[in-house]
Amino acid sequence: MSASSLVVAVAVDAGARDVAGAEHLVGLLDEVLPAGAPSYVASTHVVESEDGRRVAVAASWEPDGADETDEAAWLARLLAAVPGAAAVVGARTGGAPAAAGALAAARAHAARTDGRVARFGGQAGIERVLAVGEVVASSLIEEVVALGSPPLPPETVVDLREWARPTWRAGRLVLTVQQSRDGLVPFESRHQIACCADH
Amino acid sequence: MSHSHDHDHEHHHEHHHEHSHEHEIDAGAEAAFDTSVPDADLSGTELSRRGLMRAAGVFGAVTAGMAGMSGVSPALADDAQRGAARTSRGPGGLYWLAGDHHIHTQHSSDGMYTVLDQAQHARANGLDWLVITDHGGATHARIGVDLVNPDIVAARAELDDTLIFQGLEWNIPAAEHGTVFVAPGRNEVAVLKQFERDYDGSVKGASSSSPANEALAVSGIQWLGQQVDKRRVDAALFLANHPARNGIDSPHEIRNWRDADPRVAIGFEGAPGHQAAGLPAGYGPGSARGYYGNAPGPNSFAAYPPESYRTWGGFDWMTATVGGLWDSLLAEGKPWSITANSDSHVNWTDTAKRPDGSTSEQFNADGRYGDPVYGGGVNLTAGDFWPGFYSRTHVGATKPSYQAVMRGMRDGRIWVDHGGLVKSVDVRIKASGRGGASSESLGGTLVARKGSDLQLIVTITAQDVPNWSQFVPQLNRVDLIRGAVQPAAAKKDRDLFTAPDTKVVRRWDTSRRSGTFTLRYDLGKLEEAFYVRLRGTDGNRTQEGFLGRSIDAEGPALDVVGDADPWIDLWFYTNPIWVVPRK
Repeated sequence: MSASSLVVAVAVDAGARDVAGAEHLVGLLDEVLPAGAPSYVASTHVVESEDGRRVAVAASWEPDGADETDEAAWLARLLAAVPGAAAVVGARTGGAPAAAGALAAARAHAARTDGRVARFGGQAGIERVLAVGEVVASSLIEEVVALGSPPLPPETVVDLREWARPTWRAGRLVLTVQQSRDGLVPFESRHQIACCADH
Repeated sequence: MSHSHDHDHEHHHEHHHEHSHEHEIDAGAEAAFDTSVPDADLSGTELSRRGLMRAAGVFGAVTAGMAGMSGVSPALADDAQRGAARTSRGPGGLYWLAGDHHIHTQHSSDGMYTVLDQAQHARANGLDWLVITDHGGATHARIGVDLVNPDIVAARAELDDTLIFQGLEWNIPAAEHGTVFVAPGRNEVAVLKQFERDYDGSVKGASSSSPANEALAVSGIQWLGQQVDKRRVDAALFLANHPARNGIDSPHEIRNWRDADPRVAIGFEGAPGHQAAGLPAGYGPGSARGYYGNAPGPNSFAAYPPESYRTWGGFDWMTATVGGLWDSLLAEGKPWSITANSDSHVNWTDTAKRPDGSTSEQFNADGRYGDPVYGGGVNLTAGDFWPGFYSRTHVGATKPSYQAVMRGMRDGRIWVDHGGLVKSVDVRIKASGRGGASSESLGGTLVARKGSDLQLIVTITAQDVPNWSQFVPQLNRVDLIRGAVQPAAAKKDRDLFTAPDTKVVRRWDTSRRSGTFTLRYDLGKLEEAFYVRLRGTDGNRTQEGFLGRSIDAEGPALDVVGDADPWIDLWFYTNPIWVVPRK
């Protein structure tokens, strides 16, 4: 999206305590926000709160028409979709108990300093087996790096069938992959190993 | 082979309490946890006062019993005889005793074995000492910590040449898990139980990362030290377990633990347990070696790189990275030891299972599962090895006794290995010159006159008997790592996790060496304080170190998730020796 475009930016803090909870929230937002739009980006951000850290979700997109920029309407829709959450739309805040976490997520999303990106342009086309060069050419991802490895040549094949969750590193959208038995796969697995479960 | 894991739900109750009990910290303690109060003030006033108040309830009892207190409890009376049949003095005139301080039993909601199961396997696998460390939590604090003690006492009697400590796996507030254990004695259960009730992150709902929870961890370590001061127990030790697994042990927390009481907080796992977890699916669990397979979460320290979430050659990134976090601690000139343990819960290729009726409800009611029963199949999805089967922590003790092992650990007389890679390692630095001659060994600090000539002498006995995978491992390379002592950097930045001066300075090809052999290295003339440490490997898997070729050209390789066979990637690491010019 170009800097001159009109952008709607929202953020929601529903008290998620981990990344899985934030992913669930991303899924809820898919239902009420224009998640299918090519410009839609949703990211998760660690935010501080009075009772410890949470993971909030921020999203932005370029609206189609002027009626889609009504901040009050978006805020009402978000709060209806995620009861009990705190939300921010543009400069407008709402919901209980405080929107500090949502505001922090909105700021980090706008600055692209940190956060993991759960929805981004070109995502559907890259969650398959493909070359690094294709990932960069056809999606918002700017770089693919492998854990503990020299830079990857563009023809390197990665298997992103599990999912793709790039992160913002100093303004660049970077996807980290790791070596597995079957080649390069996402560093962040969809299923994190629960502490002390099964072992 | 399917194990019944329905009890795993219980675990969420025991360990995932971050959300619900944040306010259990009593109001009286809040002043001490006020984050605006500097650490120095906390430790000097509020925390010690709080500790004294806590102890007041038992102080009378200690005084009353003073006449009978000799400092040696009945359980220790026959210490001198222990282990005599199995061990003899080795390098440095010390007994080098192999052990494991991270072992679970049926008193853990994710464990299954009896104390004797673990202890007799440990003994059969060649260990001289072990620590039983069931998870802290509501059920364990209520009854588990009491129930396990008679089993430990009975195992001590059954295996009278093996030292069996009682400890627990502490949910460190705001951080990972850690081993806490005490010297056997009349108060071992009382001290552990009170510690768990007052300082366990799960019991207190203090798991999430916050200044108040970090302060609770610091006060817990100080409280343990106070129990030693009051002679309720003869010694207490804390070691952080799997420190880099989830990125939640930040560098400043580790430094705060160490500085809270260096007699108690002595180190971390250089290598985590669960070393079978990376065996490929079909043959093993197909997970990550050490179960180090995660990405950062909300409580992770943001500056840790993605590479820190994986093991390297089976070792935790903090230890495996030359010039990394462990070196940044050593470069402060302060002791911090490494260990290697099994973290045994359920063991790879075992044929036992929990008895029918083992549910989370049953566990919570009874404080443990029933004794395991024969399962009629081989469990290839478990990720652990029996104690002593793969990981060993070697401690130099003046005699084979409980107190001497704890003393040896506190003095840093430790080296660790995987798969029986080497039979013995002795590291010594000799100084000679106008100041006369002196020497020091593993864990020690050699103080010598400036300008003294320094020689490193490493005496290694190559392995000559098979390990528990029935092959004789080959030590093909030994590396010497050296770094300057530069305490100023960490004073400025408590979250420092690099030591820019530390690097590999010498690599020896030892592929043709057998028997006992000596490696010598000229450390030059003593000018500024520095330290050295050693590691060695079978040389099967190496790559450039995380901090680059100029620091570590052939370091351990990043372990591949789902494809990490621990038997073909063996390393040993030693603790450091410091050298300091005499003022």
